[in-house]
Amino acid sequence: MKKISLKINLILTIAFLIGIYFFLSNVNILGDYWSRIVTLVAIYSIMAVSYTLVNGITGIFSLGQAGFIAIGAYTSALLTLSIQQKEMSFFIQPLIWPLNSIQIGFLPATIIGGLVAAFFAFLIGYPSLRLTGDYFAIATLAFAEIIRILIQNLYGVTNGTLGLKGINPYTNVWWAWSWLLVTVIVIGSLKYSSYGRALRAISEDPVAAKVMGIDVFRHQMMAFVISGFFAGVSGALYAHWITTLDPRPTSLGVMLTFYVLIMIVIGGLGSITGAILGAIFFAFVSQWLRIFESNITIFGFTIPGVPGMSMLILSVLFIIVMIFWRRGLMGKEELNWQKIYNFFKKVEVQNE
Amino acid sequence: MDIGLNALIQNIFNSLSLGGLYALIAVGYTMVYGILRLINFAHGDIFMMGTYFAFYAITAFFLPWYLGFLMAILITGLLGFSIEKIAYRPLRNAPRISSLITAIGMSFFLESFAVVVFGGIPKSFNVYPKFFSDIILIGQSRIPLLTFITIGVTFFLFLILWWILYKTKIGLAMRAISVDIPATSLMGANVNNIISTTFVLGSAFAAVAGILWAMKYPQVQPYMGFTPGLKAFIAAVIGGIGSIQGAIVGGFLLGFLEIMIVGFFPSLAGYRDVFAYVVLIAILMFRPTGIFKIYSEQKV
Amino acid sequence: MSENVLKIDGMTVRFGGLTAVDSFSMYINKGELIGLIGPNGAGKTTVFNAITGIYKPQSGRIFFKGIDITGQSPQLINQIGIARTFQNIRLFSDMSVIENVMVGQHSYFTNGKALKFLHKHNSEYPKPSWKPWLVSAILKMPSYLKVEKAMKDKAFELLKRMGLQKYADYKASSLPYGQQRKVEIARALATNPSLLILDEPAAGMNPHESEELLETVKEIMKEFSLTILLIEHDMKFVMNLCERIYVLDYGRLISHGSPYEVQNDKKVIEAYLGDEVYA
Repeated sequence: MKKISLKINLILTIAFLIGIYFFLSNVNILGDYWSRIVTLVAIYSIMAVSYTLVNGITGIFSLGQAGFIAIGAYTSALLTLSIQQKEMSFFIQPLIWPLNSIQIGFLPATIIGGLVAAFFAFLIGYPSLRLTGDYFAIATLAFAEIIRILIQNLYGVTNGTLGLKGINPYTNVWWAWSWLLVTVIVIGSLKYSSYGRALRAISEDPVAAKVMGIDVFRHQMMAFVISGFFAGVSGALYAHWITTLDPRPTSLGVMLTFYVLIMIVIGGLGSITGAILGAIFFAFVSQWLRIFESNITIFGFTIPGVPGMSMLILSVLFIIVMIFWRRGLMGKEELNWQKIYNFFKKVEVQNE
Repeated sequence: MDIGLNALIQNIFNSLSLGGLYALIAVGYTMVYGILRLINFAHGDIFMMGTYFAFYAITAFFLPWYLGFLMAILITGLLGFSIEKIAYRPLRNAPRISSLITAIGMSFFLESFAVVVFGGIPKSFNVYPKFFSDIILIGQSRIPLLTFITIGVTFFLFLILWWILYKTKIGLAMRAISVDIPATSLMGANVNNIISTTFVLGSAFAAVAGILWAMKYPQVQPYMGFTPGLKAFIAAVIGGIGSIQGAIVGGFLLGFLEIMIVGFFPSLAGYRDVFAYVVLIAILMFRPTGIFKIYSEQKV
Repeated sequence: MSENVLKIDGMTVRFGGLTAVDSFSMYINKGELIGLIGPNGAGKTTVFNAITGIYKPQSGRIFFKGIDITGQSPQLINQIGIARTFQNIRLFSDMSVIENVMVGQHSYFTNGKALKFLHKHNSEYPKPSWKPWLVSAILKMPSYLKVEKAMKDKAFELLKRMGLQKYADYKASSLPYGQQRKVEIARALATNPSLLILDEPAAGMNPHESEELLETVKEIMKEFSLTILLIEHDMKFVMNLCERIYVLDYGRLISHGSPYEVQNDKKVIEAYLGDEVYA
């Protein structure tokens, strides 16, 4: 089959990006609901891509993603909320200084959210990465829970179980998709560099990587911290999309980590495009399955809605994928124009 | 001081009771890890399912409490068996990470299932005889009968476990398999049967723990298994993962730690769960093999 | 500086109660090709693992070019000049052949610690200067791209040298066994070693392949001015190549000398054939 030249690759990619731009510009034609979904898809994608850097490309199984997302969410929200808002919300214990007297814009707040999350990733990674696979997973899970419980109890910082309300809904399609572009460029560029090769080698055989001169610990830390940064960014975007935050386990706890895990398993562990496809899949399926959660009327009969059905179906799908189709949609590879061309060529040949 | 002594006695009994529950659940984790090197993430949710089975056996099928509890324990054992057969056995030769991810998926599945079928709203678990809640007086300390029942049942079950492991053939096989699967199967033992038995046993214990737990904190909800499950796993790690004595000791240690810290520092009550997590991280840093070291250095 | 490229003094390696290597000593001079032989389980691979930093010996010292490297990390030991292959070929199977080789070159970007280590030992070694390679790599800056292109060219040259250039973009695990072995050697060469350690390189090869490998080893040794230490069971390979041979049995050194001396050493014959006499 013909190999696509670099020039055509470039042209197709630019055309694709223009297409996305056009789509995003006109997405409000579809209405408010679908605009929000399109935004959410981008936020999920950032969560998934940052997660696949760690679990997929580097091969270290972390269960702490929700912790970093929560840190990014709270940090950015506390920075963008107005001072009056903070005074009103924090009525059990006033918000500590300096947070109670500053208010900054969305972009710096998002970046700081990412940096704080990255910092925590550094703190958590340092002791945890000495542990092997299973134990590392549990340690990151424990750390994520510690973060959530701290959020729940430090009323003077996070308003505890009361949560934060009235967060400015800054996140729109442009913010979300621009940050997604940045995430994909950074993590993609990392994957297709010498460092990316080192990470992939580490994920396959850490001992062989070591004797080839790679400092496995440092590289794993690097991946973990970069992933933490973008997880924090996704948290900031999420906070300003959903406008309220609370530290319940079902919203910012392990559940969230599970959701992102589903995305990257279905998309393919280690694939950036796979992570995005997984996120799209998750967003639409969970929205579509929501139908089953409210009453459906067919031919005058009302089938009662069953709350939680969407998650049940998703979890069954997840298990089926793990047993029968472990590599997911893309496996470790990326979707590119060559593969799409080959796919259509194959279909064409089959139909002759 | 009078009040201090009473509080201390109450706390000791509470520790034994809570510790026993953690130990019951931890044993299931450690047995499965010892054989399959798998952290059965779904174990905490099996604990939850056992509780719901008991609840519905009594409220929907109108069984008397003792029959309801018994049925629940048996059905939970069956559930553990099915989960292993359907979800874990196909992946036994796959990379470890895949089994771990599947176990997480199974946990998620059980929780979603409970939300859909049982409803997400917490239910009150008042399906046990009233006299369980009677208070017994030890000196001036007020201790519910339930606490004694919990401690008693826990010890009784550990006795049964000891008997199974050391006085029966299947128990011998279970101990052998945790050391070396291929060798054991070469000796003629049916590896699959042994593994299934381990899951059934662990799940049954989890069901008992669930029922006792639900009577103590009389509420059931679909996510009730997550935190106790995680803590019980931590207990197993503290005691030395793979070691059953370790799981028991670890369970009681953790129970004591939790009750005593909150007893002496009531202002830390909100951080109750954190102690276990902090201990976990400390253990993983400084003595990952736990108290009863089972696994040592691996040859490259 | 001493003439010894490698010197091991009384090294003992224990695993729990088992003593795998017992008071083992050896030395290798620059440009030599040394063999390490012994019956299965004698501890040869353990010696290799200790040299390359995978195990830390309980006692004894290991010196590389006069520098004490006992207990240092594997990556540091590789970065200062010792590379190895494995008995059971540990390639990165999901990566392409040329990617495998290029992984060996990655430490160029991250060798700060190794340079610091060397400089501390002997100030004649250059002091490391930190460059923001990670950022350059992500932003694809010209300075990084230049290095990456040079790496790719050099990797391709190495593959050509081993006769593997047509496999460059093939998935490593798709190659036949003998070729995979050569990829592993190419990968080890990519790390720029002065001492190359080969663990049973001819294992699983037919006589024709091992002939070819023998020639290749001789050539690369000359071309890259290498010192080589190898473990081998293929006696023809060992006797033809090695200038000196060390013999291990049950973790202990039982003989040392030229191939002729070792072949005729009664202790060596007993160690290898002893069991068969009573079979």
